Amino acid sequence: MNTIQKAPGSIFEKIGFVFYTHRVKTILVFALFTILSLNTFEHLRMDVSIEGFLKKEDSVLADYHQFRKDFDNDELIVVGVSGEQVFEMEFLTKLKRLHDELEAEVPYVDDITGLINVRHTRGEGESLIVEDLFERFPENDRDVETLKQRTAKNAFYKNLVISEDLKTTAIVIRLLSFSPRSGENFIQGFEADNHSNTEFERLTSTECGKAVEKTWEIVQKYNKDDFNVLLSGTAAVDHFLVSIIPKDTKKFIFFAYLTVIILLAAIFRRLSGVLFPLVIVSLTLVYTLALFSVFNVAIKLPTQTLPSFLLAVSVCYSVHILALFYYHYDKGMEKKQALAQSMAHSGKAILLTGLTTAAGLLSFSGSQNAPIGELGIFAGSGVFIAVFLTFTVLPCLISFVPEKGNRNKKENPKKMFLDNYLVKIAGFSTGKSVWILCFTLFVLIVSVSGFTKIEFSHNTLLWLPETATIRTDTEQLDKCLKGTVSMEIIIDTKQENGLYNPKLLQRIDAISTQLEGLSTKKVTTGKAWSLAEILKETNQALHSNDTAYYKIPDQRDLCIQELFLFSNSGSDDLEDFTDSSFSKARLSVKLPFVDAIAYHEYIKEADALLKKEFPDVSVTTTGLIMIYARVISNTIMDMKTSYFIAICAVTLLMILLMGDVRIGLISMVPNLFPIIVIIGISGFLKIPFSLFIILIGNIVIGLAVDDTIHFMHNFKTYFNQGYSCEKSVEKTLLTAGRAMLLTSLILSSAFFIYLFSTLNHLNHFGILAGLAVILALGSDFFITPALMKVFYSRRVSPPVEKSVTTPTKNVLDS
Amino acid sequence: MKILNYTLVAILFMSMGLPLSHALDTPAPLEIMEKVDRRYDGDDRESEMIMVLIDKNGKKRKRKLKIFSRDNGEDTWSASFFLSPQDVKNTGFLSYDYDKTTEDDQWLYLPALHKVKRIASNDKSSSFMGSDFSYADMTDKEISDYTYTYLKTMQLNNQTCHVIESIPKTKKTIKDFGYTKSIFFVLADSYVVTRAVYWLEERNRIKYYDVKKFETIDNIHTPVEIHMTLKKGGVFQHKTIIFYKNIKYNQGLDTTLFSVRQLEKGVN
Repeated sequence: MNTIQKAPGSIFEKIGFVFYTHRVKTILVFALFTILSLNTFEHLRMDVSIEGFLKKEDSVLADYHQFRKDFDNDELIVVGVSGEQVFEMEFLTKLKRLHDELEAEVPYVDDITGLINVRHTRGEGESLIVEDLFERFPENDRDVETLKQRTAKNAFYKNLVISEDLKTTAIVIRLLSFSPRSGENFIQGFEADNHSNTEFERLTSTECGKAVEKTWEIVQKYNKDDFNVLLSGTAAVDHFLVSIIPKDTKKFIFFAYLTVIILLAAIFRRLSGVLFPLVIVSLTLVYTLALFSVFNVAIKLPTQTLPSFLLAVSVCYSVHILALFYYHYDKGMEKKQALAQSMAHSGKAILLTGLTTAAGLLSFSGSQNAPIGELGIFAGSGVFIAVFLTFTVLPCLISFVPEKGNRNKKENPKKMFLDNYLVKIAGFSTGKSVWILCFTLFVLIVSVSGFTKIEFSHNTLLWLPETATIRTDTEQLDKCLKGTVSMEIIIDTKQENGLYNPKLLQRIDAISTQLEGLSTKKVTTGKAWSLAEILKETNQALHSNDTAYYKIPDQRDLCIQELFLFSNSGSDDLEDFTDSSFSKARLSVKLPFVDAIAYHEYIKEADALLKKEFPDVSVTTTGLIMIYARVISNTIMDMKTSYFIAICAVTLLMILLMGDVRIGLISMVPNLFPIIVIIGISGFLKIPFSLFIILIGNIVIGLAVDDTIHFMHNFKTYFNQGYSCEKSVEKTLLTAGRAMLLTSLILSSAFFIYLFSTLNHLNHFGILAGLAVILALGSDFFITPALMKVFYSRRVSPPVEKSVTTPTKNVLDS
Repeated sequence: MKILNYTLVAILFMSMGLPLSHALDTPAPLEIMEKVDRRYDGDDRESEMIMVLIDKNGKKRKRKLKIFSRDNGEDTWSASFFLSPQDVKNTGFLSYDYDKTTEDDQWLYLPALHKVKRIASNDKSSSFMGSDFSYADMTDKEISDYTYTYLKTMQLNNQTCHVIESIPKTKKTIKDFGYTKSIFFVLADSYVVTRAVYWLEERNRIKYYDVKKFETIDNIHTPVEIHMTLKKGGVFQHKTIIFYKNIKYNQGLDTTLFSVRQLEKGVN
């Protein structure tokens, strides 16, 4: 332990010297490396899909991919049209024009279904007719009335293409599952027809985006008072998130740079003091982003927080070195010597704080939610890169600081002002230590009581502002049409023609009815439909449209032949509900777009019904809803495991660093305090506890521990030099306290920048993370000194040595 | 300098002459398609058809049918009877393909219902017997409903082919037959379509028709193995392979074979 505590500063000095001396070589090497890294940026890709939240090997994702392979895409664009009178010639004419334009213009479309072309099956004499509902467009009001009656009578249409009050109709656009192959000419099409062994690229975010944008452009033309057009669907919601992210990220980076420049200019008041840290942070960002390209990892929603976070963290390391360097340099020390002093003193602290920050971040590298795990790995790597650059590039840059003549600086009058406050804080925190600890305990108890009020959440719709059109449109369509997302149930008989079983088909029909009646606290089924509907309507049509025959026939042969007849009658709808070997049936359940946590209860109840109905058949529940549900369950699990790992790792590090188990454990109190309070606040204020909020705990523990290390390191040094506990606290705050104040200011500002985000969850993340950093500083200014007072007052400090080594001088005076 | 000028003039004349000579050499696409349409394929025909359906997972399903067809003036009659699998055995399909109208007559006999059902048949784009072939692919098309463009001449399996693009003239033709565009590869010596690409009305879907094997039966160049592949956005979706066996031409098939009554009776 002593080895760790007393690691020689000379190593860092040597490193500094090497890069200081070989500055041209260093610049050339890093310039080359930077060019190479920038070149990889063209391969950077973004993935904001909900699937992107799960790991490739996740069974839920595997089920979903299989479903998409068998039954195409369930990501939809839903265009809703509301009006007082849908069944009116003018409205219907406009609706037909809109439908036709969408069909002709929107790219990457697999299928479009609306009132105009929804399947209409009927018998006419001895003929079975399967055609579009508007096969013949109405020519007069009588025709319109006939269509209205036909629509109103058809249960299948309700909440699928028309609302129950017949005032809202939907056009559902299903996009292609796979990216179309570009550049394949008609000759090549004959050659490349291998099926099972070929892997195809999923439709990309850009392609989805083009489809949504074109839809949006078209619907805007039609949107008038009496023809209110709404846009929704998972593809549309995802696209609006995608379109916000780049703008938001640019905004974050701009404001983070601006804040850092202002703070650095205010602290150092010299160009090099602003420029050098900016070089370090910019290189850190470039190299970290290059890692995404090199390892072919897509940038996902949580990664959005990475640039501003890394920017803030890495600037702090430069500040530590530069502050000491300028202090010594301004005192008249030679440049190289001043660098050596600062590297020797701060090198170890930077390395250790880098380790603890990275440990906090790497603790969620094992997250079940892929982007969180990736963020942990890449942000942790980014921290290491920042530390590395601080030890290599910064000394090289310092070598370019111009030599000055008389550099002896006068005392800064502002120093006295800040010092007075720090002395007062030190006096208060040691003088009222018992009161402070009692208050801390009280706050902790209150905060913990707020834990019970935490509401875990994952709802991408709520991330969007309340006024966002896509959000209000989705909410309205969810009300009118009872849902815009679907849960998919696959009933797999595992044998060819397994579905040619009337009993099984009747059970599928029965479960469909049961699911349609299923309602939990926050989720009510909008609609459930399957192969059974096709068979029932064909059976009815073949029996003179008698409603008594709207049922699954009892005879196997009849089921087979009716389905065969249907497939020969002009509709390809059958392939949406069964595979070509009739072994799997798809049952779609339409649900409203609500919080993923609400789906849990629904899925649980639906599963119970399915198990009861199909004890002997393989049933898989899949679809986007299952992925949402998995993300939230992973989130809860992650919180437990990643917090546990982070706390254990940091506690162990603290014990090792302090060289004392008891002090190591005590030092965890100020580290955990901000996290406990933040969780409590989230509970009391009903802030949705999303995976972004969970990130705060791990990030903050990694950062808070930095301040604690600085405090404890300095405190112990002073105390061992023979100062009393009170004096040691005072001296610590007057020295390390200033650096802690500055770095906390930078870090909290970097988090508060998220208040400028358009997305609600990032606003919450920013305010809570910024607050947590301030609380961490407060803990080290008040709780840690109070704890030191309680635990060290009984100890006898060694006699004061004559030659006192100041651990961290008032280095930030300059 | 003069030599250069002459050369330039010569090149200019030659280049001007190229499109003209090209136009003179290009066969008239309509003429070729008329030859395809008029090609003698027997007065009647009897055969067995084995239909193999392959899905995107590579799973195969096999169906066996007995097929009869005969010309009736300008019209074509055909009757198909399922021999296997057991599920659809004895299911029969009768079609009267009228030359002058797209509104053909089609009937399907369902043994389980003991009923013959008429299928609304102005829409020929629907699947033929659950395969990747549509009724449109199984019947003749009216040549005058399309505009043809000669694309090129190419070698295919050491045989010369005319490649011709066909675009429907009206939206009705597109709706009735389900294709917005087709490209035919016509064998230059026999005027048989050996390959075709069909762009479906449903967006992003293309079908590839490919005759893998021909046999000359009774002097008629006859496709005996045909593949039809459906791709969506260039991605394989489904494939149907048809094998024709025991083909017999000009057997003097009786008109009674092409009746609803025969459909109900089935064939042995």
